[in-house]
Amino acid sequence: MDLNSVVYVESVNSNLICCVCQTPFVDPVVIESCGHTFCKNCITQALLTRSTCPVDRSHISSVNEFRPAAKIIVNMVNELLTYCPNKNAGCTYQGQRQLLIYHLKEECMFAKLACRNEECGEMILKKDLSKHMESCKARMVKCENCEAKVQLSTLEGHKFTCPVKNIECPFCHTTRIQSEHTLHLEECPEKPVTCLHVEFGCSWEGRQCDLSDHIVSCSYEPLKGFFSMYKQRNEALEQENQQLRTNIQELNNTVDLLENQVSAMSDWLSNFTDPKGLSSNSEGQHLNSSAHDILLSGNDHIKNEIENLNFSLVDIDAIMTENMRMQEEIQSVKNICHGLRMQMHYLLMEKRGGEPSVGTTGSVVRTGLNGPIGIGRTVPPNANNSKSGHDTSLESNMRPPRSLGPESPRQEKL
Amino acid sequence: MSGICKSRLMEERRQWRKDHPYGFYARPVKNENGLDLLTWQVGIPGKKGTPWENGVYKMVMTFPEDYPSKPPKCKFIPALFHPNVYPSGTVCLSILNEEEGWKPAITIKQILLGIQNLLDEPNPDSPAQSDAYMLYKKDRVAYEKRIKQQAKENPA
Repeated sequence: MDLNSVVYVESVNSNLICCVCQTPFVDPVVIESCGHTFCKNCITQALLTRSTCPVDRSHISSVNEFRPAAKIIVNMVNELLTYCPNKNAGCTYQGQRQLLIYHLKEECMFAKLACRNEECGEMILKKDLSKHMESCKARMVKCENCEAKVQLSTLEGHKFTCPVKNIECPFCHTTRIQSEHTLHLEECPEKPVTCLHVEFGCSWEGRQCDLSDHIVSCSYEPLKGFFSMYKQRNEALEQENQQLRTNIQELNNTVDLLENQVSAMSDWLSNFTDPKGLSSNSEGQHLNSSAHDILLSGNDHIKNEIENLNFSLVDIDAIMTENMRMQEEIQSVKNICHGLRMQMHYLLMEKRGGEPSVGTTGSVVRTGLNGPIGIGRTVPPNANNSKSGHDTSLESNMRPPRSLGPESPRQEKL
Repeated sequence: MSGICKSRLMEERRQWRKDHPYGFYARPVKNENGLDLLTWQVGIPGKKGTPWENGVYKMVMTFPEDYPSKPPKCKFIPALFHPNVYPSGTVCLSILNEEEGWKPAITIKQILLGIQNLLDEPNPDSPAQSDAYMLYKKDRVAYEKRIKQQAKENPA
């Protein structure tokens, strides 16, 4: 496009105007010798006629004296706001001049484009193009027979030369084009048909062209009013029947649901063991007799169990008492054992000649001395005491008293 | 018509329509295809306080195809009684001469203002018609009377 003819939104600083074309610079260049700036195209054209500067008429020796104008000049003119050249057609675009080419190529709906159908050749606004393409007289359409793309205006003629125009009717063996073929299939006189009253029982079959003759003589024809009436009634009955079936099904479902609910409810109620709780429960009144029976039997069962448990408790009491006695006995036996051990120890010591060794046996003796307080001691300690007294004096000489500590808890446990 | 010539003339027209000096007019003539940008009809008023006042002098500007590299031809119709106007009506002015003062930077407005100046300030160094030149040289009073007469013949 010609950027020299665009219309600017605002008035442009006169320093940016090329004096040759009187419009803002397009692709500005500077003449080295005199420093004047022009559009590249303008100065090239001007120098073809006369090799002087268009402003000051100074001599210019060659085209090589140009250099591109300073970047700032180029940017200033590129960023000038312009209207779209299709403003008169209705485009309201305003934008930088450097974006104008993109706008015209991609965005502007008011740009004129040639119709894509070569034969048409009309120039259409871009916004109207798609609409035009749908209605263009020269558009290509598909032949419904051969699938070939044919121009709309030549379609009629194509039908006569279309390679796949001939399709044979399977009944009468005549040929015709595709579009007429389906219609013909319905109407073909040779097409095999059945009597119109086949549903009422007429077994006649024959060609379509003979059907009308048959109808005249068909024995079902005079009765067709009767048949159709009964057919209607039958259909109404069937429909009603169907309706009733669905109703029954629904009712069955409801009954199933209710049964499930009742059984769930009775299961829940059987958990109650307190008959008072049951009687005070107002909902319980509504339960049927079977639920009551279940509850009562459950109640009896539980009573029995409680009785059994009571017996068991008495047994356990007896066993406990027995147990206590046994414990006491065990304790006394333990004490006796203890006494015997001490005696044995003493005897051993005597046998060695009064030099007791420091060892585990010694500590056992001590424990005996320090833990004489048996819980259930029944045996009188007299026999032990005479010996233990002796033992005490001996032990206290032999052992440091603090070593006794760790042993005493063991005694307590016993 | 080259691209530059057409766009330059369109721009000149646009600028003129936007703003032009008082009393002047300038417009491309109409032809069967719309506007003929290469031919303009213009009117130049005489300056106030000079014998030329109250007259508007009609002129046709003809632009060459390689305008603005070459100057337009300016021709008074009818021909003007003025020392620097040829008997045909063509104006003889340095800035309109390709070999002398023309340069592409000169706009139509500048040309018209230049010619308006020339009306009352003829250049005796380059006479173009003998009648006006001789009268201007010999009898200035008669010359001015003739000019005033001409102004009356070219009313606004």
